[in-house]
Amino acid sequence: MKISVSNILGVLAICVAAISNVNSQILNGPGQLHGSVEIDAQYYKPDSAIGAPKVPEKMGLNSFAQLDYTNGRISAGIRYEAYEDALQGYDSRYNGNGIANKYIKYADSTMSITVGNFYEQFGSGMVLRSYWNYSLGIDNSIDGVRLLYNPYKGIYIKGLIGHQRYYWAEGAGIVRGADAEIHLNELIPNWDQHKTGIILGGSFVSKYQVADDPTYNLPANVAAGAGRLTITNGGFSLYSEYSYKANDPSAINNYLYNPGQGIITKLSYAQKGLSIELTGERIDNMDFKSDRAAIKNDLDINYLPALPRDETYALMAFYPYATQPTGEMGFDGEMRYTLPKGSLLGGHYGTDIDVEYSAINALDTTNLNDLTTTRQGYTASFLGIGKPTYFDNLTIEVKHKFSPKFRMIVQYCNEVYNKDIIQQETGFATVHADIGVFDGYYRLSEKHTLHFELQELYTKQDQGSWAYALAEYNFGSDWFVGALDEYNYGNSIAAQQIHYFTLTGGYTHNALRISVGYGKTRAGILCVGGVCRQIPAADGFTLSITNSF
Amino acid sequence: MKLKNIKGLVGILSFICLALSACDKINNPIISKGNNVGIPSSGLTRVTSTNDDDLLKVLVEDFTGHLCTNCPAAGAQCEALVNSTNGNQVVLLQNNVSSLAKAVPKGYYPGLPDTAYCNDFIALADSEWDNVFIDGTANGMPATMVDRLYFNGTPYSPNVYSKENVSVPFDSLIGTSPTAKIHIADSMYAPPVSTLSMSITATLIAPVAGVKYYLVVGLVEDSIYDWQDSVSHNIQYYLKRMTFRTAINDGGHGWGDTLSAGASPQTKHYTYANTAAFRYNSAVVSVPPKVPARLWNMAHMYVIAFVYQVTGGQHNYVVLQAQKLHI
Repeated sequence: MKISVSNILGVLAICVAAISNVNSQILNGPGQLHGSVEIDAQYYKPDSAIGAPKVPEKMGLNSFAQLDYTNGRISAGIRYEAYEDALQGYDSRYNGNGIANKYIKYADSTMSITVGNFYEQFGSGMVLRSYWNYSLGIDNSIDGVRLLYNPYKGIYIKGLIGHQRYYWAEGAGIVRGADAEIHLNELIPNWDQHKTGIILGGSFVSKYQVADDPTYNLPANVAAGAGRLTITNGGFSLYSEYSYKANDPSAINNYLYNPGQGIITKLSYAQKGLSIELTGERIDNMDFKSDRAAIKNDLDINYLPALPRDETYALMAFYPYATQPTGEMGFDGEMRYTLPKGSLLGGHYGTDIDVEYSAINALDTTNLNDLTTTRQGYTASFLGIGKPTYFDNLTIEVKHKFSPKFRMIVQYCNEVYNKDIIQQETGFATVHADIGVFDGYYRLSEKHTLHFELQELYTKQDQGSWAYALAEYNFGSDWFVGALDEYNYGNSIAAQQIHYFTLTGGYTHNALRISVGYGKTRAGILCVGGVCRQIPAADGFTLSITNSF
Repeated sequence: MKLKNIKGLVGILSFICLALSACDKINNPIISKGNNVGIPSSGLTRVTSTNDDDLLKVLVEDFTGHLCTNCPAAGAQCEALVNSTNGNQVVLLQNNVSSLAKAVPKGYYPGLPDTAYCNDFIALADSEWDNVFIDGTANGMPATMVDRLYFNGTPYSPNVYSKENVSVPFDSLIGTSPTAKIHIADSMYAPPVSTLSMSITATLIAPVAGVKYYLVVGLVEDSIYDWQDSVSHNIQYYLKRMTFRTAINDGGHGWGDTLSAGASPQTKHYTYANTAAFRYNSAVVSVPPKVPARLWNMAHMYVIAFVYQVTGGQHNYVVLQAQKLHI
């Protein structure tokens, strides 16, 4: 629903004035106004060589402006968004403009009430997480009412109800949720002195959607629950969460009626110079949307965390992992160690080493062949590891500072990537790749820095091998210019051995950042936390402006 | 504002628990079709007919194509309308039109199975409607129409709503009184004869002198699994809902038979046979499909009919009433 900005601000002003007249303790002076703004624009040139399509409007623009006002116990805010039209790779249902988010919140020492749009997460997010990720084009905010209650020290309760944002409308389903968390060390007298900390948590979420199908008896109400435990002791920390979802036939799971389960357990140890983290995860039919017909990332109620970390280097992120909500079994282990300063291998400044291994496979399932009867679909061994392998990755990273002027990061990765499963393509099978990164920073002077990267992706599958080079020069503490090239030298088709050359430049000062670019971008996928968006090939100018206040 | 005592906390928790206790456990997923479950064993006819002829039903047309990457989103919008509170007042057609619906030769797309996108769902009537209303090849898709209402008068798409606005005209129509009624009675002979015969009775309520009225009758197949290009990937088993297979009258063309401009019920009888394409499998749709998409599974077929008027001007082709009946 689009609402004019003036209407919203008028309502906010009236509310603030009314409350200030009623209770001077709620408000505190003139209050504070904060905000942020971002504009991303791109001019598109058709380029058949790289598959950049002809864009009829020739230009896309994504933008938003967020305003938040706080005064004592009252806060309120709006976010205006404009997609004129949405950049390529973003869903065209965003096209247009309007107020995408508005809220008013009252909060005191024990209670907080929010009406309007809000974001919330229960535990790890396996039963509920609403969030906004501008770069992915995801906003599943809940438009309704949320209550946070802290009745006693150590007890935290949440309750919420509402519809999810669905582009410029709302999703078909109603989402209801409650969460309770008990911090024993706060609750029990004298436990705050204990070395061991314990937190217990539980969540319950249900959705309602009209069920009217000529073929299936669909559940109008679908519920999910989760329990979690956190134990800390010195450098050790254990987090474990189990979630269960009742029958939820949907477009994602082919209208199966089997329940969903998810479990994630994370054990970590940290001390000065060393940290180790081990994570195990099992997901079985845990896609949870407020509209059973929704697909892709639309109307997700929950969030299934991805085990592998998000990569920032271009070729390291070439084959990113997307969490498989229908089922996966995974393990991730990471160790970070700092070779001490002054040691033989650590050098004068010390050396950081990071080794991470991730392995994710299908569940070990047995088909029940019951699609004409109970539609449970399959059974899955709880600890079994099935085939195929979805993702297998060993990454080694070394960071070293050679001198006050020069520091370097070197990364190596060996990756097995099931593109058919992860990107839901067909015919690409599994990609085996070796990736190397050399990233260096050289400080020429106090205000001048040279940054360069060399990357290599070696594979015999898919598009073949790639090389990447970047040079970026920062000068005057606020300005930067750069050039980069991605070259698909290993493509088996000579005509597709293309250079994707780009020039960039920009200005940063405090919170303001302006950047411009010109060149070609290859088609790819952007993933953040296992949630992904397709990026189409493009050729042309780009402009990005961000600021906050 | 603070709760003064623990009773308030218990009250809030009780409310939350009651509100969230809703969860439906389904033990029988498949809706029993009664006499429609299997092929009649005796080989005799099975007759059904509509019983809600006084209810206004809105024709929602989703112009689509298997190579149209944004069309699944429009399909989802129409699906949401079907599943909404007033979904029983929706007669949904998915019309495959334009170059984006054309079948490609075997093996056309490297990296995909040879049979990807080889099925052609374009009916003669689809192409004719495309030429008049949409011109999908020139103007792109998806495109949706609601009772073929005149929208914004753009030169090439006067009747087209953008996919996210389907509910707007629909909501404005469903509370109004119908200006026509349609009753469908159909029967089907069991294989191997496989001839479909039906009676359609159309009644115009307060017809206007000088306006021409027409009745279009067609066959629609629900729940076909076949290839679909989506924004991020090719979907091998995409669920197509209510695909328009063919017009039954007017020789397969899309403009129907003439109705007299009078208030008396007018009954027309039709038969249709397509032995080469007809199949029957009443199993619940699954992947891979029991009946290939290029064949017509009569167990999932609907007879649809709609009445429209020809007035010239902005109200040309507006649909007055629609109806559907599962075979």
